[in-house]
Amino acid sequence: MLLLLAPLLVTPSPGDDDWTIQAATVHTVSGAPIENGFVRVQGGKIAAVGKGGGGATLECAAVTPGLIDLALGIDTGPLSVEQSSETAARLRASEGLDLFSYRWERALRSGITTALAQPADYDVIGGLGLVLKTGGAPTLAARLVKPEACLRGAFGAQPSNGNSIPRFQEPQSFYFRRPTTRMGVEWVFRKAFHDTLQGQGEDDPATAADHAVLRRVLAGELPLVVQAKATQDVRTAIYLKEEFGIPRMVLDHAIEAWREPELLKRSGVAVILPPFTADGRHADGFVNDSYFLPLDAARKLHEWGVPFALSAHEGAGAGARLADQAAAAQRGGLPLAAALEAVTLTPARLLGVEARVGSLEAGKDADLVLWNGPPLQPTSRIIGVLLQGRLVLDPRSK
Amino acid sequence: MSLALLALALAGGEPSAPREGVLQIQAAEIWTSGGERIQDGLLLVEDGRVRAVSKGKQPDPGLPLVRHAGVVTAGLIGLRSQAGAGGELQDDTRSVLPEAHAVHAFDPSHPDVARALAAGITALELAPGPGNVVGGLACVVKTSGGRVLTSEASLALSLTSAALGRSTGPSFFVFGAGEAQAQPDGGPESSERTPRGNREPTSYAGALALLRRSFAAGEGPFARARRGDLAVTIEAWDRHEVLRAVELARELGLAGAVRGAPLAGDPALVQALKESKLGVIVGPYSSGQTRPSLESVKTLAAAGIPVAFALGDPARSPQGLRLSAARALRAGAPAAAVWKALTEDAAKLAGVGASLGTLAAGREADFVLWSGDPLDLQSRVAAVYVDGRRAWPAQGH
Amino acid sequence: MKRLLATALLLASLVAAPLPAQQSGRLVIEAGRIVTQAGPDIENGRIVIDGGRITAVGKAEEVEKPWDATVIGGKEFVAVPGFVEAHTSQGMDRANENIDVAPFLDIRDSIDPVAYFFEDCLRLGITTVNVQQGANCVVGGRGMVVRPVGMTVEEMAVRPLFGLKLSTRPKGGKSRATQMQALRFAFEDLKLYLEGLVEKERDDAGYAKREALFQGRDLEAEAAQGRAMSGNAWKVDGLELVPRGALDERYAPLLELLEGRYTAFVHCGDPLDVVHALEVVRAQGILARTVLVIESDCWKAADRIAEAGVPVILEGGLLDVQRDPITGEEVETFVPRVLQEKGIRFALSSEDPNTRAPAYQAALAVAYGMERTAALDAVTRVPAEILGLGDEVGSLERGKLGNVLLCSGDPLSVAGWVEHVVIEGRLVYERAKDVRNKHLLEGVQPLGTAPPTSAEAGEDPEHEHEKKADEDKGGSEKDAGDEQKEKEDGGR
Repeated sequence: MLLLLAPLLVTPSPGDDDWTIQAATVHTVSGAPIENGFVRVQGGKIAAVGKGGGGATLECAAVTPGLIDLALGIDTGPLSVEQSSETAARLRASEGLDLFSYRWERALRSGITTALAQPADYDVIGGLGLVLKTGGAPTLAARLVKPEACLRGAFGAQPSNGNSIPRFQEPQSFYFRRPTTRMGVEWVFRKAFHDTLQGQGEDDPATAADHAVLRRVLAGELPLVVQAKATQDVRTAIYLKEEFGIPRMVLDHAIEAWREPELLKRSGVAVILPPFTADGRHADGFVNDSYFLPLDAARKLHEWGVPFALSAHEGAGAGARLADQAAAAQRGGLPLAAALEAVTLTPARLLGVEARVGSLEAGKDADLVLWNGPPLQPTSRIIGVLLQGRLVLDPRSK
Repeated sequence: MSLALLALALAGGEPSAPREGVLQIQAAEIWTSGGERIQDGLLLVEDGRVRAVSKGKQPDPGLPLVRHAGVVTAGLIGLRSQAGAGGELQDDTRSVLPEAHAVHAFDPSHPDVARALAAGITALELAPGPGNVVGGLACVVKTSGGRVLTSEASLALSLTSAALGRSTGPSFFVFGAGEAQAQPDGGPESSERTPRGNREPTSYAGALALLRRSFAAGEGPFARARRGDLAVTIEAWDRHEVLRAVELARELGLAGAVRGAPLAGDPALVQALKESKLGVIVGPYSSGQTRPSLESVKTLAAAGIPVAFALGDPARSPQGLRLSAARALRAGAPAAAVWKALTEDAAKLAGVGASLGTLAAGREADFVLWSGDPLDLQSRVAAVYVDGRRAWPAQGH
Repeated sequence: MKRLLATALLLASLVAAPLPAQQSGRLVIEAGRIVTQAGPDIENGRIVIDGGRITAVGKAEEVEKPWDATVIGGKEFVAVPGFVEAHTSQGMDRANENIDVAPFLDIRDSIDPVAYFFEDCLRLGITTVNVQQGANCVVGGRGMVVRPVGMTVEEMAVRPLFGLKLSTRPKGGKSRATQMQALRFAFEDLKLYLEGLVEKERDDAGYAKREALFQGRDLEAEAAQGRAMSGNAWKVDGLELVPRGALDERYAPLLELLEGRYTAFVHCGDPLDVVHALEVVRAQGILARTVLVIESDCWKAADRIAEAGVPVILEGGLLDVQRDPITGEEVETFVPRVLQEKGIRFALSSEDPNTRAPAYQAALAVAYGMERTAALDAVTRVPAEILGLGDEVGSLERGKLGNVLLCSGDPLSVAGWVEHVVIEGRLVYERAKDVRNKHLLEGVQPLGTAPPTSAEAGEDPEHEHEKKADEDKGGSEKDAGDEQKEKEDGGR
């Protein structure tokens, strides 16, 4: 059966964006699911949610909030991060975005309406990430939800990848100044925060700008989102959090976070889990090492009270999408309500955009996903998507 | 000029001594501004400049006359040309080279220049390559006689991936693999390119920061560009790069053109360009150019945004300009806009709009005698005049 | 002698080899719901298996429980027919031979009974597996149908010498033209060989006889095997003069294919391969015994497949995504629905590493609008029929083999795990005792064991380069750096 995508760049005309969606179950996420409920959408916002209702213009088996992926990873690769310095905290990922890329439409088709865009992890501290919609006109003005939503960093082997020490010749490349190991990466982090606290090196305007951002992190205004795949990276990140008193930290791609329950609970970090793999193994990709993520990792985090989000890393094929990750997490024992929250409200809260997205409540953005069965199950799929009230995937098209 | 004629007339038609550098061309059709056509026209040229273009006027018997049964138009202008530069337009030492002048790479005796001339191109723009965030200053030169019209026509900037993370020196410790490749034919864009080297900036954000710093410090060409005295061209290929370039130009108040932009006709880009002081230099268009790309000229023209064609490497095809034009025409661009893209708007976007591009009093006397409509590929170049003198063919007529 | 053995095996292939141990025990399976795939589901049902076969299936109150039977199951379980893997190239040593045309190969020499693949089959609930050579060939060898239990190939064998592999997808290094030329020539070469044999028989028979005796051949035994027969499409004049035993074993299997003794599994990589495949099998007269093994975008040739009336095995992903080369827009096609709409009989397979579990694939088909029973048929009844085992497996009915799965809940749901697997009346898998499943699910490292090394898990670094040269689509390659690989559907 062909699944044709309705045109996305639609200029809304008055009345175009008014919908009443009737569903056998309305999953608001903010409260209990509503049986035989409706959601009314007007002017790009949710106007009302409730039971019963009439005058349905769209019908489906279930409706959920639009999904949110904090690790979508649609970036321009190495061109999204300034590698002439290991710490580029002042630089904004918004300046290296390609909003014309078909990858956004693909994410939108898989139900992801809001995403976090960050610099790629080639630097230890890469820069400022932003929260944006995955659809709409291809300009930042049209898609922005929250500029400068987090500071991106990375532990592990990736930031030091490609760096090397000079051998027998004059150092020609700035890569020579850089860390080549995990402990070097940690040192760069520590130095950046230490220098910020000491106010060192701020006659250089770039450093001063970097420190200004780090101060915002220390003040709790910006969450620090760091890649921490391996157990040692998780521990390093948490030790640093505690040492510098960083109020908000999110561990991204945290494959082995499940091995450190005590540290997770005591530190209050949040976790973003990567896609599950068939055999639980995740190769590092930058060093000859691999890590293990059991299927019940999400359930464990849920039981420990650790806030966590699921992610799909741009997974596009059958079995690879964000909804499939939520299904896998349920297979590992996570209850449906928790799985749904992990792809909607929790990621919204972690980035501080829960006032606009993450649940079906009056006043929030009209980002909805329509399903042909119970959501996040292998026997159901996404048949419709609304983004800010516009129907971008039409459930009525055959 | 009219005073002289008046004097002549009052003198009762006596033939006076032939004046130096005066020439009359009588043609079945002369094209002037915006592709407006004058039937049975007379072009009067003196001292390398156009004196007058008139309709139905009898030529002065005392002055040299060239009769041409076909069309006479202003000479074509080849932008972003490599002719005569011998590959010396891309310097890899530093990312910012505001004082590098492309004119120093120009060799007027190079055969490529003669080939361009024979194809009806009377002026070439040589610009620094796209591999530096600030490449230097473009020049405009004539294809005959080696005359440099201006050695500082515009400041060449680049916000394309080719300018990011380039390599310097030996490549032992080069990071990544694969040269950054743009998609000149307008096909699907790749959002990810791996930089080959280690020269900063390595990212779009870094390049923007570098440009803001350079323009803020405001010396030399940067200051003149901010004041509006110097045009700026920004190389940008993928649509997001074009959008970024246009937004930066608006932020810094720069005027000039975007170079590359195969998909400049995208609605979001047209919207942004309309609100800026930038035109677009597109092409050269190849036989594999996608339809959305070819239709850009039509869309931009409809939105009132000046468009010009880039010549590229004339060694491959001296007819490259006319082929690009033909492809754009076939995709629906109006003939007037395409003609302007070859002449007037090309001059404007190259920063020499006051001197070149049309046949009007006071402009440079660079013109071409065609066997027919120059936009028709079947028409041939019969003769080319540069600075008022016949430059091609060298002998005979 | 080799030829006698070959004959014996050929005859043996007509009889299902029984599972060796515990033959006499009776087994009763009780379940809250029995999905029979042969009618409506049975609530609170009971299945009785005796001598490896189902002797009764129905509501618990209507089916008598033999007093000496072992009873397993309970109300919390759902009983499902064991899934049938219609075609795989896993579970053996290297899946591909270098030689283009090698019909004389027999997969029994290559199957590795302790390969992880067979263990995974039990987890996924696959109880019948058709192992065939990989697709990187022109004419491959003969495969076999096995059960995924047993310590030797003989114990595993269900149908030895079953199916012959052909491929129209160009073998590594070949262009499409040379692939088709090689495929046609394989049959042409057979014809020439047979004509040569006939000529030898007709010529000075005395010389041929002396030659044969000199070689030590037993002419009487050869003659006793009967005469070589022709296929449907072309005849060799005088072939009846040639004793079957005189056929060189390099050619004999190909002739047997033409005679209709093997199912031809023809691999097609893209729609054009389908056209070529149908052309070749029609020309050789084996259309009626052909099954196409197709990759995802072969759905574009669905009309041709439907017209030919051949069944297919979908080996690629279920979702085919095509990107417009100019605009970059993507269009998705759910392949099983296209096949269903065109009336093509199709089976799903576990070859695509992203969607290996048959239950998961069936669930996906339901998500895309296929009716539940039809979706499950694609992993039970249809592959059983394609393998000629329609009377033996694929549904829970009296007389069929006792291959049953007990699932904890709806097998198509996230909560449904394969808890018990019964093959021919013998309990061969229990998830509670599955150490590797526990590791995958909970991260619990069994005491005294290490996680499987990459070599054990199927990636053999030493032979990695050979594997790449093979371009073996059927191998269990896991791309180490590829994080878009999917979650397994648990230990199903």
